[in-house]
Amino acid sequence: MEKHGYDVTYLGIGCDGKINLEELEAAITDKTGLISVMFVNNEIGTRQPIEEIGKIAKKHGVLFHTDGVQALGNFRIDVKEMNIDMLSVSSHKIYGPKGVGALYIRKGLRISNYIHGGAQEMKRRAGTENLAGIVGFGKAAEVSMHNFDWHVKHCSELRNYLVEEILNKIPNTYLNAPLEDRLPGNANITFEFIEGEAMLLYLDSHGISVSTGSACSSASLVPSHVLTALGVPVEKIHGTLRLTVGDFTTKEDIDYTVKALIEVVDKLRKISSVSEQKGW
Amino acid sequence: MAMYNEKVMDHFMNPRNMGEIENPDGKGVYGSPVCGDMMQITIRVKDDVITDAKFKTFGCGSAIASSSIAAAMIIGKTIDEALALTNKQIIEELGGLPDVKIHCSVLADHAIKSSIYDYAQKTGKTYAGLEGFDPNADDDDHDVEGCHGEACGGECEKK
Repeated sequence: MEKHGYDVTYLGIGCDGKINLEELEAAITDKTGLISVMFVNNEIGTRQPIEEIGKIAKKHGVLFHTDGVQALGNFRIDVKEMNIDMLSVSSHKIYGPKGVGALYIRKGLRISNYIHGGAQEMKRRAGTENLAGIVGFGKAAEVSMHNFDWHVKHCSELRNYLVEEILNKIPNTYLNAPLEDRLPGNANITFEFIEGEAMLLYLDSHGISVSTGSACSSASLVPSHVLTALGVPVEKIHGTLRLTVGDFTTKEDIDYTVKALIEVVDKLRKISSVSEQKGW
Repeated sequence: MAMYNEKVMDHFMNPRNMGEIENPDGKGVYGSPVCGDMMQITIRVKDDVITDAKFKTFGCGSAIASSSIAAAMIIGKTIDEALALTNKQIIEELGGLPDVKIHCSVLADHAIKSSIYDYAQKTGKTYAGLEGFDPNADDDDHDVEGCHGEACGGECEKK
């Protein structure tokens, strides 16, 4: 947006991972055209106060867009009730095919055509539609609605068990952002005195895939901006992993992962030049 | 994981010379947890030959591999030979490192020189290879081949 000449105001987050509603409202001017806040953050899983943001946006006559990619299938979304004008979602997060998404646009709202050429998608986006993908997305949405309650319960329980096991069995670990108002399957944990990419590689050799907020794992060599905004000290961001569970995860998977983590963390702590005794 | 070659992965998964020498003749620490890479090298020296070297590293796969191989490379070398070691040679010995990881070899090189610097300070000896060397310099990294300051995102300068 900035590259196209728009002024963008960025909002910070508190240590609970949520934006401050007073700060949001105070930032609105008569020039404000759009508020865009993600429904759920993908790294720490925090659900933003969407209903309240929708109310504020409506009160000031500002359009409200939310990125609901992580929210779909995990939280109830009612675009009318929540005053959401535009909502982005993606198929792959609800076990649909990759490469297809959707943008809900409130009736009466028009967007400019941004890919020119053919008249597809009511002249809003040229290019032959990914028909197989769209059908798959539709089916995934149907299944997701049907499984909604089970999915939320299954993921929350396994995630809570994972977090509990890690925090109890591995010292000097902690959870980033609270469990309340959190994506059911998301856990984001800091392991002190060791580095994320190293953990990632060792876990990969055990057949376990995770992601990390460490600078060393990103092409830009910059640590996670989300964890930075949350107030996590940089050296601890380097030792942070995001672990997520899903519909196909079992308790045995969790036990296996925890066992592997204990081994990996122990090995890396022996290699590390920093420790609880030595300090940072 | 396709980023690292077999040799790097080997040194990472099975690090050699990992640990800490008790009452070392020289100890060098370089980098910081803020940057995401911190290496410690301890050495045992006899008659100006490095008879043993061990490393401990807080860092990623290439940081651990670089310090593991660097420690192996200096064992059996004279102090002068060890001082002549460059980060380029560390990379060559590893069979290559991804561009974004070159700074890890720079850190390993610096940590080794720091350990020898410490040894020189303790014994009062001087070595030509240490001339102009500053164990606390952050800037050194940014002038060395392959690392132009963007590697750490300038984190070390924000301290």
